Amino acid sequence: MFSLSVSVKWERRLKIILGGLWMLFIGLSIIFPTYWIVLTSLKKPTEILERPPIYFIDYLSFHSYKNVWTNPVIDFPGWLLNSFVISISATIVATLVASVAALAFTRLRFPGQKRLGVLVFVAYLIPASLLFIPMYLMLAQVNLLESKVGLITVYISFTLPFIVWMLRGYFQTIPKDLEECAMIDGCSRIGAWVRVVLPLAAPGIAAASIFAFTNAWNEYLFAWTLGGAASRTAPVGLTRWVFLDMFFWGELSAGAVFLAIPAVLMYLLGQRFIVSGLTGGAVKG
Amino acid sequence: MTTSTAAPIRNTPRISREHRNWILAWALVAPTLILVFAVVAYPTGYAIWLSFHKFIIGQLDRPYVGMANYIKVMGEPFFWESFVRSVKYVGVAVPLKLFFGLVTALVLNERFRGRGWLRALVLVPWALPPLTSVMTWKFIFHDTTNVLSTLLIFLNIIEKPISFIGLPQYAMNSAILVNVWRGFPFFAITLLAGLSPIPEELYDAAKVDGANVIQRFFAVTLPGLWPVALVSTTLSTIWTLNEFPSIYLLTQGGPFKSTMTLALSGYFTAFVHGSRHLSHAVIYSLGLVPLMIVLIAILARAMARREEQSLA
Repeated sequence: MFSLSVSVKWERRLKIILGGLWMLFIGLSIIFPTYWIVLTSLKKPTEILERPPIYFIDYLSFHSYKNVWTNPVIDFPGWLLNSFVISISATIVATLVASVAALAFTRLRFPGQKRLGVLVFVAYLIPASLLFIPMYLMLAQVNLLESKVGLITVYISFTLPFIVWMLRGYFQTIPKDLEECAMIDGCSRIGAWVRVVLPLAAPGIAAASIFAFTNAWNEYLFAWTLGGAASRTAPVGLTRWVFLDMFFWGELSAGAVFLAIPAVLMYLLGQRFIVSGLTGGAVKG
Repeated sequence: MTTSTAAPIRNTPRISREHRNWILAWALVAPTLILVFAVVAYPTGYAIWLSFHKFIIGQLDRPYVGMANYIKVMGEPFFWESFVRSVKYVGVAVPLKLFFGLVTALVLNERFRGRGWLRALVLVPWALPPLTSVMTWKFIFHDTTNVLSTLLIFLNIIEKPISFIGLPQYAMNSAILVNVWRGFPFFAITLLAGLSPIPEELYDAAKVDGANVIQRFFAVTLPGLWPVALVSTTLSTIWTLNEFPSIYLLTQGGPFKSTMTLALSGYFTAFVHGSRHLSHAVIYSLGLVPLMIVLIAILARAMARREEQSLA
């Protein structure tokens, strides 16, 4: 395809054209579905199922938003609140427990350290599709099926290993000299951790919690199979706008857009930290 | 210790500094350990236990039945059909995600105006809750309005509207498309992070030696990117194998079971189909375990090697 003598200038031009075309294609394929759901949520009810579909509107209707917020039977605000309470609880518990464990993993040497690290990582990989059936029986045995506490406990199964793994990587990047200085200045070891390491790790802890929260916020399988009236989360609740073969696309879209806003914001906020955390030691820098 | 007054006689054995550290370390990891045991290890063991017992909801008698559940479930064509569909779903979706993610990462690694915005945009499909993205695609595919078909007809790509999720011959590919759409940003972002530490001098040296774009890609980019690509691909394979919402919300495994992967088969056997035979249901999820073990082993080795390198 390319001869060895292809000039640097032409190579550069070709790169710009091909790269530009590629990003145009990728950009449009991301923007179109996103545009479509926002558009649908702002259409008048009569426009939504029009054939051929209407790709542009000149009038914004908030009918669907109003419906999704005020429907007395399909309690979207209540389920958003459930989503929030369950996700935030599972995140806080996991963050507290994981921060302490990450200190031990990166600041101390103890027998079994490596194996425990592997164990936590394997735990992170055990999928919900394997856990939901035994979880269903376990929650039933302790009468926590369909309860918020039950769902919070189950969500810890993915928030906790995730945060431990992310923080382990992040804590390793904090130099040990600083706390050694603090200890020479008379701090106890734990004092040095509290006063030196944890404040430095705060951005990492915040990012890990943000992602864990978003994963819990987006979760579907556990919420669908183990939740009930008292613990119905917003993603599961929204499917109530589907009656057999009838899709209330306006209301579904409005709810789905609303659900997506915090998730997208949080990902954008924490994206700088996620990469090094997710791939563990594989990505440096 | 060098006190002038007489030291009090210790009648307890002295705990060395090292042992004190061990105790402290174990005290710090204990809460994590206990929780991981309770919500991950124990249920995993429970799933395996279930697979060897006869467990039906509403029946108190749960006798040990040996391999009977495995023989029953794996003796049915439905299990192997689901298995093949899972393999197809993963086998097509993961390489596509890797390809789209890699090319996007290579482009985003160049310096140009608006790069920050594009990076943020690429992250969006990954950040969206499955309910939002999958329901959007469902509407776009749906044949009551033909959103996508109309667009493709307008662009002269197809002639007649296609029922993307209404017909078995298209449904699996549509489900794969949704998965690729949702999953390629993960590759783009991780591979982009893997590209940035490759030093510019290596490219310059290759240029001086007369290597063209393609040769430079294979000589410089690929070796530098390989470890990240391996980890991302393995992680994504595990997630894709067990994907539930992006198929369930799109097609519920239909039409005519054409998108019924193992992850969905387990759910339907446990919660939807009449018998509610949970011991049978877990076998659908456990059917993926041998494959998962291989993947996890690859991942653990790759990680360990990297960690040794970064310590050295």
